[in-house]
Amino acid sequence: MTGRKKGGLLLILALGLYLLLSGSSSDLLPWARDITQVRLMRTMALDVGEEDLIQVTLSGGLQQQNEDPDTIPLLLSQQGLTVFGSVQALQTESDGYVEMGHLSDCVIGEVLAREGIEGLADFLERDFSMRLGTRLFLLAGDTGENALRMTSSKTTALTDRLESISQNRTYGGKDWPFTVRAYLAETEDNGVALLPVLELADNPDYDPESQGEQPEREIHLTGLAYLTDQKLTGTLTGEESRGASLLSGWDQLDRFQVELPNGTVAGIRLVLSQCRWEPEFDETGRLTAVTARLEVQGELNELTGWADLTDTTVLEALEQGFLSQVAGLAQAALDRSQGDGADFLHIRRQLVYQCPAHSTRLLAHWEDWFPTVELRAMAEGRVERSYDVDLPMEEGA
Amino acid sequence: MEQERMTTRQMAILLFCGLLAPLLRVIPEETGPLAGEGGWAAPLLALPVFLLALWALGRTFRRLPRTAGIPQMYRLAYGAGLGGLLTAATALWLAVMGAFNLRLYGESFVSSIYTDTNIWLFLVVMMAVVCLVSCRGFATVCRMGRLFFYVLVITVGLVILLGVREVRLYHLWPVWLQGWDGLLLSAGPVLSVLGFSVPILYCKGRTSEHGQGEKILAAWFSLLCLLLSAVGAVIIGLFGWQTAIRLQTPFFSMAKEVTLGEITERIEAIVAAVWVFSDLAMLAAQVCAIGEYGKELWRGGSRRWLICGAGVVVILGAAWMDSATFELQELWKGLQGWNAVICYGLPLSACLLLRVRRRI
Repeated sequence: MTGRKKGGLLLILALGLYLLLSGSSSDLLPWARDITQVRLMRTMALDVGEEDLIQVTLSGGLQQQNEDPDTIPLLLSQQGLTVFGSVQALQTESDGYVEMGHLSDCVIGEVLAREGIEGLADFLERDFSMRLGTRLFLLAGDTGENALRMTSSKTTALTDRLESISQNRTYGGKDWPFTVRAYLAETEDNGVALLPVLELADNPDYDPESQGEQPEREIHLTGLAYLTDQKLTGTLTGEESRGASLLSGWDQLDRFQVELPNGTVAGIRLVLSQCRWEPEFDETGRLTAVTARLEVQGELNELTGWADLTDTTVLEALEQGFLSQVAGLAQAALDRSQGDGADFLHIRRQLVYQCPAHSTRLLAHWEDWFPTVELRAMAEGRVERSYDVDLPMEEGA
Repeated sequence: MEQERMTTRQMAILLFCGLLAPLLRVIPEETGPLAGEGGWAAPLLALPVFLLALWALGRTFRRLPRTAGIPQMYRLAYGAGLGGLLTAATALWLAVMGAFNLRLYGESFVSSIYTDTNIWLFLVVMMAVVCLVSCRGFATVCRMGRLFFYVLVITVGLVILLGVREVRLYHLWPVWLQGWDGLLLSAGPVLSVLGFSVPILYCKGRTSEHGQGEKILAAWFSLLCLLLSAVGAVIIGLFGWQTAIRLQTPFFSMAKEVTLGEITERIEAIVAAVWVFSDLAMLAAQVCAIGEYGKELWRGGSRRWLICGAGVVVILGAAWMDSATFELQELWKGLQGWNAVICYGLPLSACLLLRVRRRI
């Protein structure tokens, strides 16, 4: 290396060291945040605030308690014209930097959901620190802020409960289907999107004197609701919600009770549900009927009484009872969708995908055809044994 | 000497790496609005047209001396004056595209990870690295591309693998849902970006002496288009095309979403870090090509000084494009026509002229 090159290299190194170590160039170099001053937020609740402002409440979850395990999770609340404005306002309320990159759940209060959540969807989509995999929930009959405050204690946080719901209610390996990403995709498809509904209930173990040992209220998943053009327009009944879940193939914890001719009641757990949509067109190319053909599998978990399941007629009766219940639930969801004129099951999208030859006509005439087309649900499948209930415990287990 | 150490395969690998980043800026952002569900198929539609252009150029260069590149072809076709002018225009265009790519690279950091940081830092550091490598010669840049290739392909492959289980097929099919015309037109933006490679590939003549150049290029560009289609399919299959086109950086958003249980959450930081290799490969190739064109225009000039000069011009150009990403995207849409003229129109018209005048 020549002297001139060495000199140039030394000059560059000196300049680099000056920039890195002098601390006088904070506007040029990236600056790091002190991790102890960062407040990781896990759950967000959104409600209508005073004077129609948007109220954002954030909860830090249990990991914020590391420094002092005897405290309930950190809660911050602010109001603003937009979701982003409220979140920015929260920065001044917290004693550290509010970091949203770990937000996993968002609970929307019913009043706000009825007014519309365009701002939330847009914020979650645009803000680079947010994740489109954030789970969305609606809270019926109460505010999201109450859900965060009343379900938190020294040992529990709403985040953990929502995570448990999302992990336990889906088929093995499948992800929770109600995320911001899915919501945006469904809204873009036809303006209608399903979201899960939560409800608060009194906690029987709550003791006002316990000072935060137990949460005041519990939270439960009760069903599904649909939003049209980003506004809550309909809440499905329990049966309709179960039917919609069956047709979408996601709820693992659905269970059925089938009464056999001899009065024995069988408890069956649904372990698999797949739906195939079959359209029927007339000679003019008009859609006349759509059949939702469900392929399901159940597991026998309990028999209250006695039944010889090696007897084909008994097994057939059991399976028929199970399949007719499945078809009934699916039919209820289809009827509700058609009755409300809201294609929350995205039947059009499924038909366009399965019958590309008819795609142009389906897209052009769906609004006219949907109210009058015959929607049918059919179920096929069988009931397997989970273990032999007739054998003594030590043999059958 | 240096030219003998470069092969067509090395050049193809370098361009493979360099084209990944700019191509994933147009898929599905520009292909989606045109083709909708079929936005992912645009690279496959663009491939035959691009290979046809490469074949036509390859046939012409095979008849020229082995060391003759685009500058020599322009001189032969249009004469010394006009040929020199077109060579200068091509070099200038490479500098403009380099500045554009550098600016977008800097913006991707400033708007996502290092917010509130001065963009100059990223521009200067990147160009310093580019000049440091490029001054060692085109062959060194090509060898660097080979190392980047493995890292980039493994990263993209991992993202595809993790993302594919979340893909919803109804977001991808039927591809003609928004109309056949839109589907065919969606090849345009991809073709335009693929055009970056033409002035680089032929800046200094044929790189392979075995007559297999076109086949090797066809194989590597086919692989590139297949990979891009796969990435595009995962992006559109994950978000749906309407959501995907609204995202600022769909590929990084996809990387944010893909997980494998608790093991591989939040891999986007690694992907963003690795992605620098693609920007670096393209910028280094563009700066090297500017050096080659410059040498033809200024015979006595030192290649190193030309490269350093090109680096300074590119940085100043990137800083001058003082605008937000939204405006840069609009600017690119306006420049696509010019890009097609300079990257395809000028070389192909020179080929045609040479054949018509029977000079080759």
